[in-house]
Amino acid sequence: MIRTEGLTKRYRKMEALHDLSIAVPEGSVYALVGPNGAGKSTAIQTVMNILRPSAGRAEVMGVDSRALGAEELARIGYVAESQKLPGWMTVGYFLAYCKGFYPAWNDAEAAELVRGYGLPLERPMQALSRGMRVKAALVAALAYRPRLIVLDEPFSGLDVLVREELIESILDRTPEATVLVCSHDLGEIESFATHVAYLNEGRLEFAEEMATLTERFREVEVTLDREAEMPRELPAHWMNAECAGVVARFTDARYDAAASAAEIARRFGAVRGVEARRMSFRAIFLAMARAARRAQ
Amino acid sequence: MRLLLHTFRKDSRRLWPAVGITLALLATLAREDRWRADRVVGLTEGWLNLLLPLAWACLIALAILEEPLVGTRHFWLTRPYRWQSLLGAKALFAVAYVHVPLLVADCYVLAARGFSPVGAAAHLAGRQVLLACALSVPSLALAAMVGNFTQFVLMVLALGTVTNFFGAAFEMGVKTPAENWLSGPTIAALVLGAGLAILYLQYRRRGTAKARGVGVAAALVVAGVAMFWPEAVENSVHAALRPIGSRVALQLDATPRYPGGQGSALSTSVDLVIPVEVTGLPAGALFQVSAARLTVTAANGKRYENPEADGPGNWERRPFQGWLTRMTPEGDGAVLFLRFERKEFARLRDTKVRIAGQALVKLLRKTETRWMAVGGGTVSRELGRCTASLVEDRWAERVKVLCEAAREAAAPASVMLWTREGQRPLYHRLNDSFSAVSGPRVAWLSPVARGTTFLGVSRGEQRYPGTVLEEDLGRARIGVMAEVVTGYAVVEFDFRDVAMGKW
Repeated sequence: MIRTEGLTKRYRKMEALHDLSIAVPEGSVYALVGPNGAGKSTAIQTVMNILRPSAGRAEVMGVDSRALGAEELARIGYVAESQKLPGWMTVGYFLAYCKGFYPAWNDAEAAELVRGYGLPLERPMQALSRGMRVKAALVAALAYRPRLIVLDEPFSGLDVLVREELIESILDRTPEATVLVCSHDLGEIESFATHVAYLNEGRLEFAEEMATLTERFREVEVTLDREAEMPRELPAHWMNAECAGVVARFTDARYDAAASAAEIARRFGAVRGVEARRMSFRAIFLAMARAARRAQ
Repeated sequence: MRLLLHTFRKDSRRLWPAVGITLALLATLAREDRWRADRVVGLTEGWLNLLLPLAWACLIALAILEEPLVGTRHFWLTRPYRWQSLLGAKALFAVAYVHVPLLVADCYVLAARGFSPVGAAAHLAGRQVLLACALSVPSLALAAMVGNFTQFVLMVLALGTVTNFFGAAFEMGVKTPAENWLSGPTIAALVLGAGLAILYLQYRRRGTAKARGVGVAAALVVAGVAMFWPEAVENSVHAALRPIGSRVALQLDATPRYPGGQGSALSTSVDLVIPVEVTGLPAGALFQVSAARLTVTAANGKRYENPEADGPGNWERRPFQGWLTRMTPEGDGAVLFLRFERKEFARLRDTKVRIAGQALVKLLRKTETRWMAVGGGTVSRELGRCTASLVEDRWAERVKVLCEAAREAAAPASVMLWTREGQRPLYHRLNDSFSAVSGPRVAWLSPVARGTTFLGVSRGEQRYPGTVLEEDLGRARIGVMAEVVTGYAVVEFDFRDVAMGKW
């Protein structure tokens, strides 16, 4: 559905996005995550032809992103946290205005979403709360059953109830629709993403299916025979390694029960016990962020 | 087309208060213009001629900025707009709320002043093109390059300041087309071309950096043309296209005939009036002469160059100014008018100088005299409809001659008041009066060109010079004659050893 190859965006000397290559499979919910300033929004805006790439290319629904036109945009729903909506329009007029651009607009669907979200049709957009504005934008992005839904930090700052409500209505449209979402809210990503790509300082650290990601990361705790220092040379996929007394802890980014046990034995010799715990996506993200900071 | 109208309806719904304001301003202006029977523009009309274009520019900008082209956060960027529809909607907005109302107002004013709008169709179409070049397209383009309305207003103020600094652009481009018919259209074409290029770049590709580059380059070129367009080129083209046909030359007339010299003791300058004879013209020919270039070289080699035309309200002292002129086409001859600052002249008084330059000689033909009585009127093809009426204000009673035509600028014309055999007629020129009241006075939005002159009236038995006796008004006949240029000649002149003390 979306493919980028070496996508790069520079602002004068500053490189906001460096050589990004990802593929978003059809029907997936693909999450771009990373800390603030990682280049997530830049990546999405470049894919959506809001920004022009400095190098590389992106393809959306088989069309070069720079050639994205009305036909393609009529099948894409886009909502962004920072989007400037026409505040003077009432919600009703906003939806009626948007309807004019979409041949596939479904009035019944729009009405249902409006009802579900509890949107006041007669109220001007500028008088709505942020959550209500996002809901209105979402109705205008979903009422024509888009094939691709692109969400740029749409839920940040919303309360849990609203967030769950919105996520639910988006998930209702999958797998017919593909979703590309960028967020730094790891909890919400974990709850519905099928794929994840991690960006840091404009660079892609990894991109893979959520299931394999949580499968390969483990928080490993090794209980040693006696007090010892952490060996100097450690495998690159052991992150944030630290030793306190007889306990050594690290995050293994390529956990495999047999291979990891052998590696631990090679590094530490005889050990009293090894415990490998599954990690939440949030824990994985934090471990990676901490490792990146240490590397700096 | 459907999306175009969809966006247009939305913009209309959003901006109807602003549209209402511009329509109210235009209606007020049309009403003022409809009742004006004078060349001089009243203060209200003068201000409206300034404010209305600003209001229109702001209105167009507001429409463009409904879907701003600069920035990445606007909701419309990811909606399926077609650039042609979007640009078309904005153009339609400008046509519907700026061009069409002006056309309607023009027709109303023309009809109210007794002209047929259908008969003036070409003139009205020309005004629409002029409006597009001077206002609509530049406003559309400028608004397409800025992120918000504040930036637009600041840019307009900056451009207005620069334009005012370098001279009254509207006057230059609009009101004297015959004199700068090369630079005026060149500027219009440049503005139009650059504006359309910017709109294409922004709407087709949202290439703001490139569009701004085009905008800056166009502004510099236009400023260059407006400031440095060589008058000599313009004159040469005039002379090549409509040559006089005989060899024209300029010679100094050795006899001082005009009072010049020291000026008053309070004056900071000294004026010299040197008669110049223009040879090579048919006997009795009517002509005008002006200097495109004028240099006075002192004996010590110091050069005094004629400065570029001043901007309005520039009263600063200058060491030298010079003109080559002829007061009236049928006058005694041409004069070289030199004005030196008193200090400079003190150095030159007892020396001989060299005066050289280039002059443009215009050969004129007067049209057939059209006669009318005081209180009557006449129609001339060149001057339009002329009337003569007795008017009285708080100071005096005068005969007002007014010529109105459905055109951009009033044709030059002379006016003659004849009373009886043996009485020397009074000669005036149309537009020889001016208003001393400060404020904007350019009626560039008026579809009617007006020319006026006032002939003084003496009461009682004593007739003052340059006036007509009130008792003679009953049999007075007023003749109007337009002056039509029939040929041009560019003449280089070089007067050596001119003794300054003589004049």
